[in-house]
Amino acid sequence: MNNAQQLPISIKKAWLLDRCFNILITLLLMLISSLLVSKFIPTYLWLTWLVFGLGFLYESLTILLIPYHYKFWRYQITANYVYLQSGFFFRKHTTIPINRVQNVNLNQGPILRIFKLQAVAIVTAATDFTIDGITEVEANALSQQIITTARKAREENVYSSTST
Amino acid sequence: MYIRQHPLNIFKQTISTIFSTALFLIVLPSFLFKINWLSNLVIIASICILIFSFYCLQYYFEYFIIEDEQLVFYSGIISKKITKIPFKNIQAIQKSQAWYLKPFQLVTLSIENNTQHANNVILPLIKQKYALQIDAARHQELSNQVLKPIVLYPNTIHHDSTPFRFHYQISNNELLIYGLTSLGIFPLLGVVGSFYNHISSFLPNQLFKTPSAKLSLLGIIATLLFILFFASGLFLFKTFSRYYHFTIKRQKHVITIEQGLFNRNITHFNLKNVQAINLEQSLLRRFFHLYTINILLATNTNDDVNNADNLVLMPIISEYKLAKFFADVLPEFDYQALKHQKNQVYWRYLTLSLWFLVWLPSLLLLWQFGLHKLTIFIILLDVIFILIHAYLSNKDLAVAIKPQQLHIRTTKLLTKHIYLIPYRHIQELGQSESIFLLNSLYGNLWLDVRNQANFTRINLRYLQRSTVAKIYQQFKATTQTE
Repeated sequence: MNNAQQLPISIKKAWLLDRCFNILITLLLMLISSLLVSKFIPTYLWLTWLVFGLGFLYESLTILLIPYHYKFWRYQITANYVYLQSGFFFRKHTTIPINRVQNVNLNQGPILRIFKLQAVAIVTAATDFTIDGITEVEANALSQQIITTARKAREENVYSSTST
Repeated sequence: MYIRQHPLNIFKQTISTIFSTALFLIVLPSFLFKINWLSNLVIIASICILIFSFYCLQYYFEYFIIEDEQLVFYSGIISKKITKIPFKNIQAIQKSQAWYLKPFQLVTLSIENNTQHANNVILPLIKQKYALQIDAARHQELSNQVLKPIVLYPNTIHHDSTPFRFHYQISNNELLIYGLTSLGIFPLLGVVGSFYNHISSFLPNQLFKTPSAKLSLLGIIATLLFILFFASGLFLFKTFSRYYHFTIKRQKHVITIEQGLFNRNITHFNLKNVQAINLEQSLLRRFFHLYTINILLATNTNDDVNNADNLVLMPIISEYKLAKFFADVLPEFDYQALKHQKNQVYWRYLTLSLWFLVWLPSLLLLWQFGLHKLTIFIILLDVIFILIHAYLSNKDLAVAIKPQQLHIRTTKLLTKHIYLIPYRHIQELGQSESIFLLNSLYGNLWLDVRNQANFTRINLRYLQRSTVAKIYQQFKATTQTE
């Protein structure tokens, strides 16, 4: 993956906003649960704090890990394969043959919309892999590229197998 | 051109949602807020308006476009989603029309894509002409396509010209061995054991009423034996009723499996949908050299007995009969017993298996209750499990790279798994490893194979890097020439 591409820099802000939003939801849920638990089963209040405290810690950690995720998340699309790579301490490489790609889905939540980004889901017959966010223009071009390459690859396979 | 669902759908969905949540709508506000009927009515009306507004928004944001080669479906109010389905990839189109929608010529389309794990795309209440247009576009795309002749596997031994017939029925003796060597008896033992206090009423009173300690011990043993026999009997009955007269038939490329005593279940599948073969051997069956043959399929079998993830092709078969079975039933798969490989990764597996100690602090609770012997026994059991797990994982790990097929042997929770996977059915593969493994001679590899509505991920840990590279090379070579 020498020519692997990084995600656009604005994805960092999108991730930050998304994870801050998650923290807010966790805090809100913690508040509501604490109120309900303290009213009906006050002896278990500590358990509520423990569960949501751990959730809060986890969410905070994901914020701290944004630069790490950004630095090591890469993708590359060639004529035959889609390559995805993530992590440094725990490294993960994925190779998807382009002729296994069934379709490409573009998702845009409100946060991604603010930053004019789109998530690209590459769907195979087994599962799907998501590129978290690239610019709208890139996403459209990418989805078209993958679909065209996948179609071409299949057609080539069909012709080559019938001619033999 | 953007095509939307018919506005009638807003009312249909609103009414349907209100009816399905009617009880919730009526009871909950008064229960939560203890208010009078008028306020309750206002709350209900507000919720109904909210539901209606939601479906209005959905009507506005959900639409589709029929392009030359694909259908593009836009959905989502807050989180927007664009799904592009090439007409070639559409597996099936299901059309439904309620009687009251006939005058309006409206239908609901459910489009099944190639990807079974994703939900079908539903186009609710669209005009019939658009449904016909989609259907026509799909047919046109399929007719334009040069049809690929169905080649099951390149190493086919039997020629298609010779009609292939095979018939096999499992014997009661084989079923008995299957039941006795199955580990499924343990959950039943637990269930029957939970009635321990009531079991004494089924046994002779003399066993319990005698003050002698020897006889009361006899009573306990009798009770335990009763539990064991009763649970075994129940399990054997369950096995027999499920697999009674288990029959495999093969006619050309279609395999038919018939099974069941009370409910006779028949499953048909085409061999071209077989993604991989899995041979499974539990710890107990290792001693008897017995295997279960499972099939990973690309289609849903709707088999009501497949309680496991895989479709069972053969509940039980001796290791020595496997080669003949494959030659008779599945000659398309190149089966050869994997040779023993001298792996030297026992210590790595042992270190990895130490994760099974993670749950041990929870035993503190048992220790606090004074159950010291039980706690020590469970810890010892866990340690023995870890040692055996690491030993078997190291011993069983083996890979044979054939020209068209990957042959893998691995162990998961003491159960040996052998996979025969044609490269053409590996959907994707990858490597996943920590920084500590990077400079070593070993690497981890995973690969995905479609299995009915889901997929199976096969993890291979601590393979030699040269083997990983060879698998990649062979996989890439095969995918490019498919």
